[in-house]
Amino acid sequence: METMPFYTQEYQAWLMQLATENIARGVIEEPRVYFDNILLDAAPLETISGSDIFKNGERFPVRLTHMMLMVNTGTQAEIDAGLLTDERLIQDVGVQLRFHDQFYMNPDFVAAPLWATQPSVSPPAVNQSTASWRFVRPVIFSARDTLQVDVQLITPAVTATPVNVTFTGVGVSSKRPYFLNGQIALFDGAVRTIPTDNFRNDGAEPILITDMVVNIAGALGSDNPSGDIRNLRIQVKQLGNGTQATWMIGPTSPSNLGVGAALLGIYTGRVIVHQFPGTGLLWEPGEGLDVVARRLSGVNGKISLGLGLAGYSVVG
Amino acid sequence: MAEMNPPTGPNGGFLYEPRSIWSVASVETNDDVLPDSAEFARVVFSRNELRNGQRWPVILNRIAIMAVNYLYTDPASTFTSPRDAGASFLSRVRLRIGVPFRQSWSRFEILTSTYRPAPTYAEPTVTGPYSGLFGQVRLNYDKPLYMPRNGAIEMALSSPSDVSSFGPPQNNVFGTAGVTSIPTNIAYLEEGGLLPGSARSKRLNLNLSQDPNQHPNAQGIPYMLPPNFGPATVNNGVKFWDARHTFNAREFNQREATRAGSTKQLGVGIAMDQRAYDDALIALFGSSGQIAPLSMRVGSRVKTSSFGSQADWWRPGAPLALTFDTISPAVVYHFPQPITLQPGDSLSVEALFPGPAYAASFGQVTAGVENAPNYALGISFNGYAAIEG
Repeated sequence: METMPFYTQEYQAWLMQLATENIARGVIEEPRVYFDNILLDAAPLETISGSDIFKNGERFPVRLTHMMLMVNTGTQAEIDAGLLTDERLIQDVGVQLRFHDQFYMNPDFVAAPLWATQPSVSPPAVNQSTASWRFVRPVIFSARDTLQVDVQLITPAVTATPVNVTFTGVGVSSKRPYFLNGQIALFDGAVRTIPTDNFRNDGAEPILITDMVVNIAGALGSDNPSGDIRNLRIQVKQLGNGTQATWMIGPTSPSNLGVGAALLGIYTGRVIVHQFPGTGLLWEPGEGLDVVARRLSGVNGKISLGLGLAGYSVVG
Repeated sequence: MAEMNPPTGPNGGFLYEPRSIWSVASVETNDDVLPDSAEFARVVFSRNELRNGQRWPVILNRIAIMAVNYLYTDPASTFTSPRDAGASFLSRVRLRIGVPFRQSWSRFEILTSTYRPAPTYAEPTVTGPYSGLFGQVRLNYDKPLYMPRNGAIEMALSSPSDVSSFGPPQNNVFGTAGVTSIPTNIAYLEEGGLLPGSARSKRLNLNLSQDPNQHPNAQGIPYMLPPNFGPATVNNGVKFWDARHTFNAREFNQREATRAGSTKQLGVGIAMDQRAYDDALIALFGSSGQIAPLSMRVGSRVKTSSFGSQADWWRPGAPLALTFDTISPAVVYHFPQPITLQPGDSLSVEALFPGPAYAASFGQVTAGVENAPNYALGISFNGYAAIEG
C-alpha cells in the first residue's frame, strides 16, 4: 500500500494523478467501514460478531486497510442494567479475526492494545471530542454532488449539543483547498440529517475529498465545552455520483445508526488503530470473515466492544 | 544462512537489527547536598553506557528522553516544589549532546522540552489520574527484520518494583493492597502468509519485586545487579530478571503462523494492564497527580536467536519507554540526519538539573526552595545496526 505523505506538493501530485487515472478509467473509490458492537461477558466466553456483518455484500471488491477498536458507551438504561463503559477496559479484551480456519493475528487472542500499529491520538484539547479520518483513496465529488450525513446522540443532554462534520479536499482543476462543513444541534436521541446544502459541491469542478472530521461539543450552557465523541453515532452517503450506498455497513435500524463516530478516529482520535500489513485485505463480492473477541480476565460485568474494518470499495 | 539475506535478496545482504544506546542519570539537588547559591546541578551521563560496544556500526536516527518517576505531576507532594516532583520536570532540564572529537549539536545546553517531539504518544486523555487507556509501547523496526524459518527473538522483562519512592522507601506497598502482578501482553507483528500477516504473542504476569534495592541512578527502578541474577536480598522471591517474565525462543517458535520460510518481522508491542495498579496507587496515596505508565520503569532485554547477531539489542534493563519508541510516553526526537556510531564510538551527554537557586537565575525572588530534592532522567539513542550476512 502506498504510503500517505503529509500535505506536501508530492501528496497533491499523487492525488491528482490518482484522480486523473480514475476519472479516465471510470473508476470510483468510496470509503467503507464495516462495524459491529460486540457485547462481551466475563472470560472465558468467546463472542463472535453477528453473522455476515463483516462480509462484502456489494457487487464490487473492497480493500480493507485498517481495523479500529474501542469500548463503547451506552444509554443510561444499559448502564443501569450493568454495562461497563470504562474505556480502560479495552486492556482486558482479546481479539481475533477468523477466516476459514485461519487466524489473524494469532490463534491465541491478542490483547486489544497490541493491535495498535501507529500513534493516532489527537492533542488533548480535542481528544475527547473529535475523530478524524483520512481516506486511503480520495472520493471524487462531482459538481452538484452532496453528502447525506446522519447523526444521532446516544445519551442526549438537557440542552442542545452541537455536532460538526467537515469534509476537506482539493479541487481537481484549481488545486485549491475545499472545506465543506455542516453543523446541527441535537437535543434528543433521534436520527437527524445535517442539511445537505452544507456539503454540496456548488462549483464547476470535481473535488477530491480527502478527509472527514467529526466533532461534538459540550451541551450548550455546560461547564465543559468539549463533548464526548463516544456519545455520537454517524452515517454518511454520497448523493449524485458514486454508488449511493452508505459508507458505514453494520447492524443499523431506522432508529439506530449503529456506528459510533469515535470509531472513525483512524487518523487521529481515541481508538486503537491497526494498519494491516502489506496491502491489507481484499474482499471480492461475498467474501468476509468473523471477528471473535473475549475478555481476558474473569472480572464480572459486560462491555460493548466497538470494532470496525475500514477501507474503500472499487467500482469499475 | 543461504536462506537469510542472500546478496541479491532483500536489504542487499545486510540484516538490520534494532539498537538502542541508553543511560539513566539522577542527582540530588536539595540544599543539603548543593549550596544554596547553586542554580544548577551538572551531571555527565556515563560515557561507557553511551558507547557502541558491539562490532557492528549503529545508525542512530532518533533520541528518546523521559523522566523516571511515578507521577507526571504531584501537587500533593511533600516536596516544597511539587510541580517538579514528577515526570513533568522535563521543562526544567537542559541537555548538551555531542560525539567526542566529531561533532556537537550545540554550544550550550538545550531545554529537553524544546526538542520537537515526534507524535509517538498514543494514550488518549483520560478522566482521572490513571496512567492511560491502552498501556502500550511499540517499536516498529526501521527496516524489516528478515527472520529465517528456524530463527526466533527472545525477550525478557524486568520485575516492576513494589517499593514506593514517596518519602521513606516502603516495601510491599502494592502487595499489601492486593496487587502482586501486572498482566502483560507481548506481540511480534510479521508480514506474510495467506492473511496479511500474523503475530506471535504471549500473555504473562509481571510479578512485582519487593527487593528494596533501588537503582543508584534511577529512583523507582529496581537495582539491576551483576548478570548472575538475583538480588542480594529477596523479600518475595521475585528477582530482577525473573524466569517467568520471558518470551523465549521455544515459545516464539511454537507460535509460528506460517511455514513459508523466511518471515518479515515488522515490529513488536508490549501492553501492560496497570488498571489494578493505578487503583491501588490512588487508594494508597490519593488522587495526587496523573500516574506515569509502568513502561517508564520496567526494563527489557531482547536478542535474536539462531540468526542475526544474537547479541543484545540494547544493554539489558533499558526502560521500555526508551527503547520501544514508536508508541511511547517518552519524548522522541527524530534527527534531521542520522548519526553512525562505529564500534567503540561513544556519545557525550551532559544534563543540567535545577538547583536550589534555579528560580533566582531568572531573577525570581522566592521564599524557600524551588526545586525537587532529586531528579532522574533517562535518555536513549535509537536506530539499527547493519550486520553483514
